[in-house]
Amino acid sequence: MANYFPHVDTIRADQEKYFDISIPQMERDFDANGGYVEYEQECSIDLGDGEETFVPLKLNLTCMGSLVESWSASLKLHSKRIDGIDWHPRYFDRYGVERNGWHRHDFDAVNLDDKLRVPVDGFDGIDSRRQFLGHALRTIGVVWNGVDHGTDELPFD
Amino acid sequence: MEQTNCHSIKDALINRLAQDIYVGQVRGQCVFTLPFKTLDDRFPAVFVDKKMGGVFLVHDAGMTTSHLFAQGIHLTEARANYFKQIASHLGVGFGDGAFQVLCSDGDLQASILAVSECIILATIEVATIKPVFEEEPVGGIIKRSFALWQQSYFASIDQRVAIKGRKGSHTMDFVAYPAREGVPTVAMKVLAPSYSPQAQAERYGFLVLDTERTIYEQWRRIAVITKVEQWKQATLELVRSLSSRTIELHTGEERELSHLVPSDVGALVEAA
Repeated sequence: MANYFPHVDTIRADQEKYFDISIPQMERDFDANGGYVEYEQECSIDLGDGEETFVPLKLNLTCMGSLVESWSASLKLHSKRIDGIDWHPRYFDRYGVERNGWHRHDFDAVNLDDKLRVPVDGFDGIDSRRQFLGHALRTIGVVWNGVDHGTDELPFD
Repeated sequence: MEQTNCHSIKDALINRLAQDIYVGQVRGQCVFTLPFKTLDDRFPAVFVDKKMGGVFLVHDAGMTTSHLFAQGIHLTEARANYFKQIASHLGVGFGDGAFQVLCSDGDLQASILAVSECIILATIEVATIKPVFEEEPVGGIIKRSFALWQQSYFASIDQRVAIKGRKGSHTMDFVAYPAREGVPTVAMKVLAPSYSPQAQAERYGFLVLDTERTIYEQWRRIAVITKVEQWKQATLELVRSLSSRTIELHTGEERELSHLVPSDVGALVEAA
């Protein structure tokens, strides 16, 4: 059993963590699952040795309810959130400054602490799931499948 | 303790609480945070939405369940029932993933405090989150198995190979290219149930149909199906009918791949 926590900074910095699912499919899954979805993917990442290593990651997304401010996106490694986006009306950032609004969760791999918050831009004004997913996933370096094959028109039961 | 000291402590506490109560506005609703922390280090956010007839909807906008889910705590039926019980004790409801209560002007402060208390109590499980170290990833085992066992059949093995069908683009997880004539190109696709087995099978079916009458039709296809216990029989049959071979693994059998990959690929090559 490999422990990839020591490589968290490399994993977070990788801007091409590929999840084999399209945004329209995520939206269909939200509709089917009450606004919550979790996807697992073995992402191929260069951990610094020049070799691509498969790292098991989970992507947790919520777009439940009409208030965009309650939506969130997070990336988990070994069942711990190592990256994520959400909104609080009041929080203290990782340097102790009081703030409000959208922020990204940083991760301290030594203490396994995911409560280190850093403000992020570009989320104010978002009012659709598609906009939110696109911006949140880009911010945490997740790439999705750009091709949506849909499920409704295929000749299978 | 002297009476005067008690009052001065109370005054200081009131002052502190007043300073630490945040209020803002979000999409026409007031949002308050009280000076308490949840176990996931949040100030509980309570929304107040004024409705017709002097009624207020006090709620958490589903932020509690959303933030718990982001940390891997899913809203199971048992957990939803637990949240309902907490809410019920405090005169609040839990529905559609949110703590909420309708109240009149006179009950507004009590409702804000009650919803706030629900939010705090609902995060108790955060303290139990522990890292879970998974077995070696399936992709890693396949890659290692191919690398160890390449024999003289294959010149190279590529990962994540994009192929163009007649109507769309697709990806094969591994493609082994032949080293000599008579050996077929072998493509491997890993199908995990995470994205729903039905959707996975249908996408795989589209890949196969879409690459018919292209150069990829000649490739031998192996589908590696993980957590096979989560797949319906009809869905499995669909994948089997469209593959040269399938490798089907129950949860916990992933390590078997290190000998299944050589034996199944070998059998395919020998049969070609």
